[in-house]
Amino acid sequence: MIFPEVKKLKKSLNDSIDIVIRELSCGESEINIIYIKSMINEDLFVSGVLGPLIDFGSSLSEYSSNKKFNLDNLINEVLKTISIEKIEKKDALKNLCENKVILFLKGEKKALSIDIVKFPTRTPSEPPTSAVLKGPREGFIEDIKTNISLLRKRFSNEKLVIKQFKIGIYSQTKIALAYIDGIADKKLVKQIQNKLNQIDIDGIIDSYYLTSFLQAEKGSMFKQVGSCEKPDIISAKILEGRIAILVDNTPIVLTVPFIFIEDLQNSNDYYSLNQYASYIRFIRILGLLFAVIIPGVYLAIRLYHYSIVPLSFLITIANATTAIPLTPFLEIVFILMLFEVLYEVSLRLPRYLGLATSIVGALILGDTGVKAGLISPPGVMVIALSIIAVYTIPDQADQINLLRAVFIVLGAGLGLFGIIAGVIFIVAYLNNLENFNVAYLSPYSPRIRQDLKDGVLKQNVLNMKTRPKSLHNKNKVRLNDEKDS
Amino acid sequence: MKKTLSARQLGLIAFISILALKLTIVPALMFEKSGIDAIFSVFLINLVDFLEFILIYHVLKKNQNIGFYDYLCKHFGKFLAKVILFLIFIFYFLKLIALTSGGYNYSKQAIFKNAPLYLFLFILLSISNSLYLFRLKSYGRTVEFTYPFIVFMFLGFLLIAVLSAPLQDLRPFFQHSFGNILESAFSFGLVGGNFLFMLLFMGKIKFGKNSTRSVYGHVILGIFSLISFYFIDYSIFKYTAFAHSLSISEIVQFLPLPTLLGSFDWFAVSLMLILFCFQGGLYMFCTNYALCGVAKFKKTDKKWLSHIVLIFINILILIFVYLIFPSFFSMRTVLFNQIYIPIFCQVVYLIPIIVYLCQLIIDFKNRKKIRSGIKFKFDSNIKLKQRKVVYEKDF
Amino acid sequence: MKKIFNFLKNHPIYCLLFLCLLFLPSAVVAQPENSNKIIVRALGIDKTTTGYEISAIIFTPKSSQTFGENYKVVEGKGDTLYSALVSMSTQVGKEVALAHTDVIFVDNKTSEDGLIETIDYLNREYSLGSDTYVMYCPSSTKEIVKMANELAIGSEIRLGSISAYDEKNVILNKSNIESIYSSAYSPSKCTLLNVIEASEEEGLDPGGSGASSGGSGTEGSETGGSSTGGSGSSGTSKKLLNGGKAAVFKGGKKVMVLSEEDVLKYRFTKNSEFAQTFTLENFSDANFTEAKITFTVTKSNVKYALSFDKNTPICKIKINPTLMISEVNQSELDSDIYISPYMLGTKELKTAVEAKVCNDTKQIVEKFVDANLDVNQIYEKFNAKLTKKFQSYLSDLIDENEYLKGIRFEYECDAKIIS
Repeated sequence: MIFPEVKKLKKSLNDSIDIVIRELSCGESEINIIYIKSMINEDLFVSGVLGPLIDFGSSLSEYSSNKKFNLDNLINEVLKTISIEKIEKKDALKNLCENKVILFLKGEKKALSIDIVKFPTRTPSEPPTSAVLKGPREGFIEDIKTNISLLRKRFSNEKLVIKQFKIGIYSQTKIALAYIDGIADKKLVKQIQNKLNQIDIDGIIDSYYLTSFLQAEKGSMFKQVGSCEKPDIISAKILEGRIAILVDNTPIVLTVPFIFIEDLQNSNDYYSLNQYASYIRFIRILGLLFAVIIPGVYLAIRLYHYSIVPLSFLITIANATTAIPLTPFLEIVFILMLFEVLYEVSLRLPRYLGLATSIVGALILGDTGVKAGLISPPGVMVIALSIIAVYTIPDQADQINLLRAVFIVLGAGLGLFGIIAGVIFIVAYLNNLENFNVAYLSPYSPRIRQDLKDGVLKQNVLNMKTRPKSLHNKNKVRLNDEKDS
Repeated sequence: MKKTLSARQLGLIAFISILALKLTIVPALMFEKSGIDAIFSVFLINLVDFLEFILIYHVLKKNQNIGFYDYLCKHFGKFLAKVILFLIFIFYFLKLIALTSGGYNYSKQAIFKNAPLYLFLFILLSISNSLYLFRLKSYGRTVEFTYPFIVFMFLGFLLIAVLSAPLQDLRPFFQHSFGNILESAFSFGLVGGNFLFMLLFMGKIKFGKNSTRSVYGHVILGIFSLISFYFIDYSIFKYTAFAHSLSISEIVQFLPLPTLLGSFDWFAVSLMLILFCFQGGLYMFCTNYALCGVAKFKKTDKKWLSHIVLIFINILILIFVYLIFPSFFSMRTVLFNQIYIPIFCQVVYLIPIIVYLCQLIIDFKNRKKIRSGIKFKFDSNIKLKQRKVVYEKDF
Repeated sequence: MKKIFNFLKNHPIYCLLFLCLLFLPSAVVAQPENSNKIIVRALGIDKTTTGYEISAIIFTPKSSQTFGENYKVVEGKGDTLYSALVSMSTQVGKEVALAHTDVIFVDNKTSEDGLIETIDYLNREYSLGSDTYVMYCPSSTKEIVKMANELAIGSEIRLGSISAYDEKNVILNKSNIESIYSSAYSPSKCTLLNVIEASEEEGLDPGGSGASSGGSGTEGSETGGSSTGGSGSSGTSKKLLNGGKAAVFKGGKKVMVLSEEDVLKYRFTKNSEFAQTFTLENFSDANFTEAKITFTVTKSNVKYALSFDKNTPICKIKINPTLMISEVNQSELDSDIYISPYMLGTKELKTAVEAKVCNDTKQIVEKFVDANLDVNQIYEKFNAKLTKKFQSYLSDLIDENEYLKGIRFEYECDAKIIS
């Protein structure tokens, strides 16, 4: 017999087809089990719940025992699962929505909530945008429990605090806040907790949703919240005093506070020679400049400042662009659009068509376009260099792509002065950004000398004795001097 | 009071305030007046500036928690405060006009041959206003961020000029009389007064342990490199400096680069454009702060006042540049060749001296109060230093 | 309105974008700057009775994948230099752009009448750097420009390189716009300019057909004037550009032309670290018999020791050259002369070298003194070091401009012969 409360539960879930009700008789008692079929570990359900209950029922009827049992007996003597909890009947719906198995025993005021949830996940693997030559290759996945375990295994210490929230009226997405007690600033933790508690949204699908709530300057195109897919990087950031925010159903973990230089740093830098790391960081900055400024500068010097172009380049550019029907600005925009379209297409095309697309894109559009005299080789070269250079700092790809467009307009409309003014404007704007009282461009402005050790010029880990001063953390010392042997 | 600038940032802003037009048109103009001896005029201007800097810095350190307007009101009264601020506003406004006109003249010759005035004005005013609207904290940090590039480029140019250009013996000096040197320094009074802006930033500066060393260091570096620049410029163009109004771009053109790299002067042009932007921002701050102080009344809303003042200053600049100083020649004639502006500048130079004297009187009065107000046991065993410690502990 | 203002205030980057969009229409239609400019590589100025005739080597872009350089010669006429350039612009249909001009030639008449007035426009034109080379041509600059164009097409010889080399290695004196102006305003008023002239000797083949020069004026925009491209055939007279001489200018006007031998002698009055030759004729000593020994002067330092003897200024020129024997021409050669100790030379050789250096220097200095040309800026040197005494000396003179004649020159040489 199905209990009325069980019927009510099924009705609350709109009689969904994956809601299963299992009736059992155990001696003189009756048990109703209700669960979401697609969300449980069926083997564990059979071996840990159903099997033992049936065996128990059989043993009761075999020995004609009139033994009465209750939920505590079931928990202590019958059921063979790890996570069982007694809950109020009014909380049954909530627990069922959390994909737990709910067990009702006739005559009992409470119910049992059994956690044997299992949903499709993938194994932790190397994230595509954070490939390393040396170092760990683990990456976060879409399951928050696994992500927390990846973090926990790096901190065998009671100071690691993980606090859980549920955000989203319908999604009830699990959010976990991870930090080290004694290093992270308590005020900052409280601030973030308050911000998270104030979120009133229908659902959180991805961690990106949270960034809009966490950033100080709403609507700014610049990142104000860090993000990463690698547990080793997140662990390092937590050790510096940052707070990690893990979101269920997404492998991207957020960190606050965020400073610009974090995107310049890569995990590879910490697992290789620091001189090489400094060199590579410098290359990244060059890449950033190429990506953002070079198309604008190219246009500016072609349109307004021919005199500063070295003669040999001027001859090359003049020869190559003489018969082009488009004006320089239109040519650059046309080539940029071609590349952007190719990029979008390559993201969405099936793998087997990808090769054909690259042939069409590279050879036909690029080469034929040049031969037909529609676009010039220098223009193609400049835009191609700019597009490729974006991925020296992949985490800032969106911003770089937007800024490139801005500087193209500035260069074409206002010349070199416009570009310089644009750069100063952007730098001033970034200096105006402060999230959680941390300057965006620190440690360069304001200059914090001790933090420069992990700036563009990276020093040895032995020199990094204190935590970054730009973050308001406690317990500044992270490396004690070697003790005398 | 909210401290938005660090002492280091103040020093860097002071360094940048020394440069800009003094690297372009001013060497040529001064050479016309007093030949090689213009170096001494520049030295004199900077010496006066440096002495004023010392006075201003002392006043700033003594008044870390009060704004300049409040300080003036407290010690001079509201009317005099507004008069002083008005004088400072006029001073920096004239500097802004000179920057606009001189900067346009430079850009037009250096890289932007066919550019109309409105294009240059649009860019300069946009960036100046933006830097003002982003507030002083952002301005200070932006200067701090770009400072290594500016210093590296500027000192690099001086080095390149020394190594590649044909330097000539500047002697004999004092071919003109000392009076001529003084006259030249007097005429170019608008070019000095570089550190007056610090007074307007009173109360907004966070002084720390090595503040004095940092600020003094940057100011001395700035003055030293400026005077070196004049030496080098006049050594290269010993007889023809009057014809080289793009001084900084022209001293590096002797570097024998292969045609692959072209001419080097576009680096110099980039440096000058950056300096124009920063100086424009600084002058916008100064004019705004000063005029806001003049226009401030009890019932005025502070936020709206600064916006209105900003718009008013922009309109004034457009009027002056388009109608009153339509050409660089007219600007130059009025600002450097007539007597009124230099006299006005000398009056403005008195402001830091007056403020410093006022501060001395305040310090003296405070010491008197302490001596008369405190009661302590006289112990002949206590050394003089310890007695001083007793003073400070009580107040 | 308030909403818009607040939005822009909170998102200043949109402000920036909005303001940039105001200039977008002009950016969309703007043509590249070099498409409406003639890029002049070399400019020749000839003065005529009616004004000026200029000829210029201009770069004309040619749509190609090979990125070759394509040059043409165009001409213009006018009352002044500026009007001549404007006439050139009207013929070609593009504005003249001097930012990439390597070298400017001036002819004899221009030089004799005064360069300062002629090149006033070039000095005011800021896109033309004041370090642009200026060279003096005894004949018409048109010929030089055409010859230079042929050379540029056919070979890697560039005028700019010739000018740079000559200035640095041959006359050791700046030969550019700045030096002309500087000398005109300086007390000594003298400067040297490189000389370039065409030679009728057979020499470098300009490179065959010269097809890349673009034909002979059949293209529309260049036919207005007398634009000439390359010769187009292998039947051209082969000419060579000769350098090595120097023209002395005083107050912007040409006074004399120094021969190559004079230039060689003059160079000892300048510091140099570039190889130059020095020849000792008919030298005999223990090692050599009537030998003609050619030295390479690897380095030469010169100091001017200035003093006054009562009221007479004394200028002692101390020359310290470092020489290396590079060639010995002797009728009966002894193999011993190749052995190092002999290569260093004897005391007699050193004395002979020093005597010749002093003699050469004396000759050239006296030549300058006779012509009243203060090429070595003796005035500036005295005025810098001994100002009062020198000014007193000048005031005692009847004609202050004749100051050179009252100066006593002394010569000293300490040669170092290395192996």
